[in-house]
Amino acid sequence: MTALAALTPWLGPALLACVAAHAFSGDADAPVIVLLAVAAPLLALLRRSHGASLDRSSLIIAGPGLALLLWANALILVELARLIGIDRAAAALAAGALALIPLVVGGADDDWSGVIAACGVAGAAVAIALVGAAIGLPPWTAWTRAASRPALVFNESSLWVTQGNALPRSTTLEFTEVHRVTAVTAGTYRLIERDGGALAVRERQLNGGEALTLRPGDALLLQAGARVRFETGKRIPGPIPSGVSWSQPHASARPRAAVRMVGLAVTVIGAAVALVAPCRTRTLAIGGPLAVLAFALAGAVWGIYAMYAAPDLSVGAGPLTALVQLPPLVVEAHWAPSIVILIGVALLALYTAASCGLWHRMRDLAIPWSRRGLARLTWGIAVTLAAAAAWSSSPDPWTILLLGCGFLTSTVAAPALASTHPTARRIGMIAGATIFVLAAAVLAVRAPALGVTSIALIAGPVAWLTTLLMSRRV
Amino acid sequence: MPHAHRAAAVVTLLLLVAGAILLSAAPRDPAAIRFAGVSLLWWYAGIAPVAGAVMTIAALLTSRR
Repeated sequence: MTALAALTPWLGPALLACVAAHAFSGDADAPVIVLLAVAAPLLALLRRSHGASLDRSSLIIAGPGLALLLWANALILVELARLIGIDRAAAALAAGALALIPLVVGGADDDWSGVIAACGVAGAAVAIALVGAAIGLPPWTAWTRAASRPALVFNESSLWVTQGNALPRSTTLEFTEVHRVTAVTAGTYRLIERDGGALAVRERQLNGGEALTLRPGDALLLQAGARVRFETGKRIPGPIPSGVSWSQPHASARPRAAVRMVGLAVTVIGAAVALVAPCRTRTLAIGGPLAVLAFALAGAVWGIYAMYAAPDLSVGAGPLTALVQLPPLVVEAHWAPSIVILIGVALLALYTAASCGLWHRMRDLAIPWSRRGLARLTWGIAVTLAAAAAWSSSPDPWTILLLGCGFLTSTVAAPALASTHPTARRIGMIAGATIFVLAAAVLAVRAPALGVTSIALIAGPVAWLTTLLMSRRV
Repeated sequence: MPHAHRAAAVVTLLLLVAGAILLSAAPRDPAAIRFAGVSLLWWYAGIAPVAGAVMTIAALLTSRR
């Protein structure tokens, strides 16, 4: 297997979109995420061997982690379809069909998925290069200029000012100055007014063209699909008031931030160890690391350019906002559709290649069963569940991606790093899966602020320690 | 010593990740210090992956088949 083919499970559209979205939103973790997106798969690639052999329990215990990653990638495809006006059910069906492609053609040669991934990465890189050329600034200058803006305001050419725009999902917008919001479509608008220390919620029925005035501290709850217009020159409502706050996000308390980032590192590196096969050949050894580097940097640069050229896209931004909605705003009108098509095709290629990579891992997990057709059946079930989940709900793909990564860290990577003994590893996997589910449930209820990354930070070491202790006993 | 190259690349990558975490969680916010207009942490996030990829390529090319 070439380095490129080994990296395909990693180079999914969900990771690319999430890197871009984090850079765009000015998330405090964004630079660390960019670095981990490159370093984690390279670490996995550099291992000398896969570690211990698998046993039958591996498929049952680790399979859900692969299904979660497929779900995260399918969510991006469904979001892409929504942005270009395709029905959610049709998009989920297409995502399922694409994920089944490796069952049809994967038997002959696994390495073709690496070529598809390379095409996807090249497409994303060329698209961002064209956007950068249209903007006329290198990314570091765009970062500097975006970071020095005293306030992020709507300009006169913003779609939110000229025609009005609709939000893909219900969003609450908080205002820091007097702002007159005009309803383009008739509907009921919920206004949360701050009167001294008290909050008052009022519902206003507005016809198209009617406006309401919000004062500093007020918030407006907009339902999905409600189309509104904002005022030129007024601050963009949302969590990023200025370029300074975008470039220097208010980090949470330092110990908590450190724990979160260590958790993120453990989650991501562990998942890479579980997903990416070590590279045992020099064939295309340059291509793999270069592809993963271009992949992560392209995502980060998309986010930076989006904040520089169109900060108003941050209003109700989805995971693909920076990738898909930026080109029409900065590139000449006759070129913009081509770039959007290019990024769409790149995302489809990355999705197909990532599905192939995940299928290969599922197939490896099924080897100990020695039953013909079991791997295909299991993959079919995983694809069906992922497509159905992407159709029926739209959670944050980053959360699903981290849950999948954390689960694989706790059930595959941690036991494999601790021991090669099959029985000890099996017990470690069971312990990792159990603690992961329990920790996820407890943290979601008791300490949601700790975030998804903390789960693997608890379950991973428990699985590792359990495996180590059991290997000394058995 | 072909395996030594891989080990050196692994240690370098782990150190790069640890450096990013230390930089962003360090007191007095050194990550926010700007060089040529860009914060130190973003310079790090741009340059460290390139260094890591170069190390990995070198290790993979020099390792035994």
